[in-house]
Amino acid sequence: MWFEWKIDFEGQKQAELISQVGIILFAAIGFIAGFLLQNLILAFQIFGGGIFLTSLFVLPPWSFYNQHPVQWLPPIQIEKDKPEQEEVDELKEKST
Amino acid sequence: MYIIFRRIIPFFTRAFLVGLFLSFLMTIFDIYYSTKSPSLLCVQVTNIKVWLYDFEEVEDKGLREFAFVTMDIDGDFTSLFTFNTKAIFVSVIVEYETSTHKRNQIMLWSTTIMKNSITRIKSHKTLNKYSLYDITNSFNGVNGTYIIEWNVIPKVGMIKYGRANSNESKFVCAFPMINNNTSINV
Repeated sequence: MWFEWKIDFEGQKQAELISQVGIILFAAIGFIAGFLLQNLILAFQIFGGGIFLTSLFVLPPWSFYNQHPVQWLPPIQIEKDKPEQEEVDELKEKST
Repeated sequence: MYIIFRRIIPFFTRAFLVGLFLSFLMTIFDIYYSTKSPSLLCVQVTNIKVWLYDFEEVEDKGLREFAFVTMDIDGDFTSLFTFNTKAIFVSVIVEYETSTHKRNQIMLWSTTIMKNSITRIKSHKTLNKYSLYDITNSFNGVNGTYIIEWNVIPKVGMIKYGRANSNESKFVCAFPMINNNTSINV
């Protein structure tokens, strides 16, 4: 579905790495800037802005997250009379 | 295949936890920096009067002694304001000991200093804001110590408490007995 915003597993690894780095980096930048300028609200503003930017980078399904799509196996063709024949043979073996 | 609902919740949970850690770091650094005390603290009592009033809220208590204290308060709290301070609550208390109760503390006067306002308190001849009466019906002329206390209210973290320590910033004088109901001039 178009609204599910799917990404594949390789893309998920990249997205998690980028999100962790982004969150911690913006927290460190916010702390240093707020501590040097002696302003508590500025630290949290920088942190919030950084979270917003990282979410723009991580959450939507960009094309580089879909480079390795999952390879599904081809469907198996099942014939209808074979399983019944196998069941009949098994019943005969058990009775003898 | 990871859909959006499965990705959005861990992301914001991680961001929230890191934000909590950031506020914890701010609190720790503020505690490390602000072990200061006010540079000037002084309270002086100029006048005490004791009157007998009928305590109207309770019927069978009878007359009890009410004290009216006029004081001069002076304090400088500029060094206590860091980046993490929102307000400081300053109060003046009186401590005394009677024969039946070992330690009594009554708050006489209080004010709140916000961050962007004047951080120096100077009150001249203020009467006590709150009623001053004993839990028994009279003071019996004991000595009372007048002390300034303060509570620092931070933006992030725990409330800190402090009070005047040195003997020069406290003030000791006795409550006058009801027999000689004249005012004392100190």
